[in-house]
This record gives sequence, C-alpha cells and structure tokens, in this order.
Amino acid sequence: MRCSVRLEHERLDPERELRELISSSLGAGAVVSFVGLARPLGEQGAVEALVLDHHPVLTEQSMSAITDEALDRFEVRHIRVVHRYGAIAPGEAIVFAGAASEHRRAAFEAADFLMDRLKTDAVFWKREEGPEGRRWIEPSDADYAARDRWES
Amino acid sequence: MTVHFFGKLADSISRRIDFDLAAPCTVGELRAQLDRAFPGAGLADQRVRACVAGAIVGDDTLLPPGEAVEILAPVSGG
Repeated sequence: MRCSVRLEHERLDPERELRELISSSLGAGAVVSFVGLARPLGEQGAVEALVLDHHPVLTEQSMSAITDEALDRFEVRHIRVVHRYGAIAPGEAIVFAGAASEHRRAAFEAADFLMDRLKTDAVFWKREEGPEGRRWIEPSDADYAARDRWES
Repeated sequence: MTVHFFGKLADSISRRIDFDLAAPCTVGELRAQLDRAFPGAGLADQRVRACVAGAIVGDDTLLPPGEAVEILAPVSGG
C-alpha cells in the first residue's frame, strides 16, 4: 500500500510510525517525517488539553484526499499520516506525516505539502482548554497563505 | 428531524437536537429555520456546511424524510 492514513484516539507513537514508514519503503532513498506536538501555551495562556473533534466519515476522507493529492503531485513511493483526535495533553503528538521517495527533494516537498493542507483542510474542530476556559481555533492567515503556496 | 452539530456549533447549540419541520424542505431552508431558532449561534456563517448520509450537500438539496442532518462549523484543520 502506497498510502497509509489513520486516526488514533488514545496514543500516537511517532517513533513507531517512523519505523513502520521506513520498513514499508524498501527501495526508497529518502524518508522525511514531521511530528506536530500539542503546545503548553496558547493565546489565552496555559493549555491543559488540546481537544480535537472529528467526523466519523468526513475526517478520514479529507485526510485521504490530501494524501492522494500528494501522491499525484510528488515522486513519492509511500506516505503515512496518523492523526490523533480527542483530548491531547501538552507535549503529546498530534500528527505524524511522513513521505518516502527515491531522492530527498520529493519527500521534503510532500511532507511540507501534507502539513500545509492538513492544517487548513482536514476535517477537525479543535479547541484549547485551560484555566481561562475553552477557545475554539480556526486556521490562521499564515496557515491559509502556506496552503495557497501550492495552488499552481 | 434529528440535527447533529459539530465544532463550536455543538458548544453554542447542542451536539444533537430534535427539530420540528413544518414541511419537507431544502438544506438552505433548514439552515434558515435553525438560524431563527438559534440566533447568534453562528449558523449564518457561509462556511457552515451540511452533511447527509456521510456526504456534504448544498443548500438546494431536498432533505429526505426522516434522514438525520449534520451541520458542520467551519473546520479548524489538523
């Protein structure tokens, strides 16, 4: 399978995901991975949990659409995306996105593309929860600008 | 009709409501009725989407009788 997309509720182990990606990428010359972590500080101060709501159908569909597009755009052999949902404590991994290719440039670009698209288009609703209450988060202008770099 | 809300709409309204419709209607008409029932909840935002049976549907879609509808707040991304 060239594309692996998965949602995880309880735990995401980035090291295991990287090992799995490498082991499924025989023949590749490069593997690039990104791990997104929950921050301990948000715009309203301390964050006790980042909570991601998801949709039972649309969330995984949106992730698959993004990885399929990455496979079409870049000379990559394998893509692996794993995303948490539910309550995520500061320091825990939110997302793993990795790509394997024959030469490094394609893997770098694919991983960059995956994250820019996931940050704006993946079907999640997220909020920070802390002592000051809860705050719903939407993509920033910088997130949209990053996504729009690939509109050509 | 059962209406499910996602994202901040679930906060401002509820995760699930039973909503009485006077007659069969389109998605757009349902959204207008919900907006009148829950003013200020954010339903008028043009980025709000509706989903029926696992597929995004437009405002012109006629709602099948008895089908649950999901109303999605603008997504946050991952």
